[in-house]
Amino acid sequence: MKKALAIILSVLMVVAMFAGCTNTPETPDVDTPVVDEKPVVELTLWCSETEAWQGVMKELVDEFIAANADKATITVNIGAQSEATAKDTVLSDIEAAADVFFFSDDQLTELVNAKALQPVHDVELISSANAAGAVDAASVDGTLYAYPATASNGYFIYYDKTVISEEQIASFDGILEACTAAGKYFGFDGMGGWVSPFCFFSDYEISLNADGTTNCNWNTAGGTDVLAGMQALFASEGIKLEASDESIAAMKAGDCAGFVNGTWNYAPMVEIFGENLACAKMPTFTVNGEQVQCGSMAGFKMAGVSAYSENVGWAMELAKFVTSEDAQARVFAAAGEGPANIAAASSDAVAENLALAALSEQAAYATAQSKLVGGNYWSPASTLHELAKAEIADLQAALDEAVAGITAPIA
Amino acid sequence: MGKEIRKDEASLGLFSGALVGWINGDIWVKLTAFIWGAGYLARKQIVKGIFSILLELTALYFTFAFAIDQIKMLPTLGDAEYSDPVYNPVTMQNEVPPYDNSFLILLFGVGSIIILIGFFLVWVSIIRESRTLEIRAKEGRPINNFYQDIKDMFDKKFHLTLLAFPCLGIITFTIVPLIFMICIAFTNYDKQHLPPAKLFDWVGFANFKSIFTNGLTDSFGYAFAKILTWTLIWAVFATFTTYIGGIMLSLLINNKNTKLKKMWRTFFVISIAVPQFVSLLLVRNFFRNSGIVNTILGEWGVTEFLGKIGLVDASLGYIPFLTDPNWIKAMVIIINIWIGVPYLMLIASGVLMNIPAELYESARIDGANAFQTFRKITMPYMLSVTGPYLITSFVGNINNFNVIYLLTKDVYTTQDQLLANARGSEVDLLVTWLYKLTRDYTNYKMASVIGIMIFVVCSVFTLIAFNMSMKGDKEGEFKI
Repeated sequence: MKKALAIILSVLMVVAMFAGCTNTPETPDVDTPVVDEKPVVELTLWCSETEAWQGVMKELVDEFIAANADKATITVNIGAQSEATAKDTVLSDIEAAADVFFFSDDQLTELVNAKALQPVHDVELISSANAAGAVDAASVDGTLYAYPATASNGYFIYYDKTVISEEQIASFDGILEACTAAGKYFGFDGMGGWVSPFCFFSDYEISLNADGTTNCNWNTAGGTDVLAGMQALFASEGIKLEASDESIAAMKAGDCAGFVNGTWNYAPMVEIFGENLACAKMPTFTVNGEQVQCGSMAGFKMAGVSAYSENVGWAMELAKFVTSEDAQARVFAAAGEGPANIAAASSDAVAENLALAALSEQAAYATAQSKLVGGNYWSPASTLHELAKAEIADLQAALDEAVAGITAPIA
Repeated sequence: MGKEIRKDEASLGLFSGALVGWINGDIWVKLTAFIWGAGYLARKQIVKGIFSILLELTALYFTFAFAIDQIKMLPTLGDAEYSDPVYNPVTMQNEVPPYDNSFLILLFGVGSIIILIGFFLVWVSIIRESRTLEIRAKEGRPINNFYQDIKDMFDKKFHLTLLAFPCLGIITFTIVPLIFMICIAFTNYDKQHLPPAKLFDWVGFANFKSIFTNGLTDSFGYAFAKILTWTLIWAVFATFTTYIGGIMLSLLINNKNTKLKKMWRTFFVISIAVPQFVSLLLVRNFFRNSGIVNTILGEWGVTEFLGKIGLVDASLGYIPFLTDPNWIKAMVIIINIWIGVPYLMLIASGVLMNIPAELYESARIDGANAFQTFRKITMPYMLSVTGPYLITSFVGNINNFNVIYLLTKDVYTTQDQLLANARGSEVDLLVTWLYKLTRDYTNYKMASVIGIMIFVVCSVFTLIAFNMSMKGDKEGEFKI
């Protein structure tokens, strides 16, 4: 009896080890043409984990299935995968990626280099329906690789207009003056290199090469002045460098009068500031006594189709469907994210949205992330932001080291 | 004569025994080398013989139909590049010309070699067993039939039966992946060479070279030295603070003057019951710059005081618990005490209760004070029992992923540009660095090298420590 038990246990042990393995679905026979019978199509869609996105996508997917019921029996599984980290998940096992997934444009080059994306077939249709900037952000070397979904993934200023006036919001000096006078502060989050070192986005070169490396000339002449300007700003009274959620908590408590952020926080801002909420483009900052306009990264969300999808045709149909004019309008209504679709963006509701108005004002000084920086940018840039918070012994050396990291070859 | 040979041969190892046996054996044993079941069949072990022949056929089929092709591709790791798929509008599917996947080639190649080694071992042991059977037959001793063999497996050789399953598991799930991962350290498997779209290739020791040197644009050598140093410092502090803290705590609880012993013990055990990552993420929020701890300390004037004595930059207005490189190092060690002490308290309670009371009694009679009894009786006893635990927990701390990763994730940004360029930070352990490299930067080759380095550090330390602690039988010494 004991022996039998011992054997069962040791077999169980092995079985338990196998439990981690899952069945891989069998590849359908590619050679059989599916013409007569209604094919069975199973698709996976990854989109943001937020309730708004999941809800809208569920509706759209149901409509997509119903609309194609005569052509195929379709099932779509919706998974939660933040657009911000979609690339990491996709690249860790390209063949296991969802058939359709949403991602933000900064990940485009790496996804294209890993050949993870199926180029868009209806180029004419997609390019004409969406804003040129969004289409450009979804293209690499003239090939359109993704279906633009939103055009509001950038940042701007939310502020309390009873504290900061319209003239003051135009420059950091004015903002800090107003905040200090009111006994409040202005929150600032570098967001891991996305927002800061903002000062360099305007006059200096930073751009992405086709191989995924980044060009950067921040350490050339005048760079140290910009860094010194940044340091001076960070050390001024009236600004507090903290995470966005800390600023939001401080706004509720009445200590914070505004911050740099994006459309995803529109609803809580309306809730906190109500009638007093205002939005503005990024301010100017002082370098060597002169005012320089802050540049920024413009961001777009887009739907990509996995080149390894077993039903790539249906996946492209689905991607087209969930990024249509109607779909983008619904995403805007639910999540407050501005449409990339020209028709959807011209609606009254979009025009009335304060945040989107500020974004379009900033657009002149913004560049799409997908054209700006590669994967090696983030870590050195966020450290440069961190360094600017304190004294730096050798400004030039600090910039040289940062630039060496940013421009490093991809490994 | 026969007996002598048997004795001589029985004392030989598997390989030499098989070789000598094959040379000395009769025609059937010799034939076994080519037809695996021959030796069994000659001794009337029909079932075993047939099984062996079937196994040989399987091995041959596996070798020629699969293994050879895979192993042949190992040196190049494939050469047919992936080309862009062609869309077929009729099937609505992509058609991809055949391509090589370096990852699968490496996996199947390594797997094939290991399976072939397995077949080889089976082959050798069949030859050896055939020779043993021959000798038994010549001596006229009984030879098992199949049923008796099976019975043996549940009786005389039951330990082998039991061990077979776990061994199989360990080989499949530990040894094979380990060999596979070690192989990756010698390739250029990274973001630029991601299968299936790209092929990767062998690069020899290039990755090891880059972890020990600084290139023009990468700073892996610098980061490795810094992170390794901190890993060791952390492991020493994390191990000894929780060890001593746990002993102190259990002494306190077990002191005869302590009331409500069970209640105290339960309090500390509760902190084990809460999943570690939950409490760590919570603690991380407590200690943020605008977190609850800073709010309270600010109101109490502690922040101001620390500013005055120069421990905190007075202009900050908060204590940078998790944002300053020095503060965060101290914080992770302190928070780890809180996480780790309850475990040691439990272990120490058990050990302390087992120390014979007479020892303390005689010490008291000899006039020893409390500190002396602690130093001469409690500590040596503790050390002799928990020595191995101490070593394993040191190694465990070298790989203590949870505490470091969860406490610093999204909160701490390194202020060392060279570390940032190598994706590390001041508080990263080798293992969290490895995780970031694989998860965020798909740099598998460097991660694999770091993995090997962690193994080297851990094994060197363990060997030295075990040798020292086992030498001279400390427990015996204590008892005398």
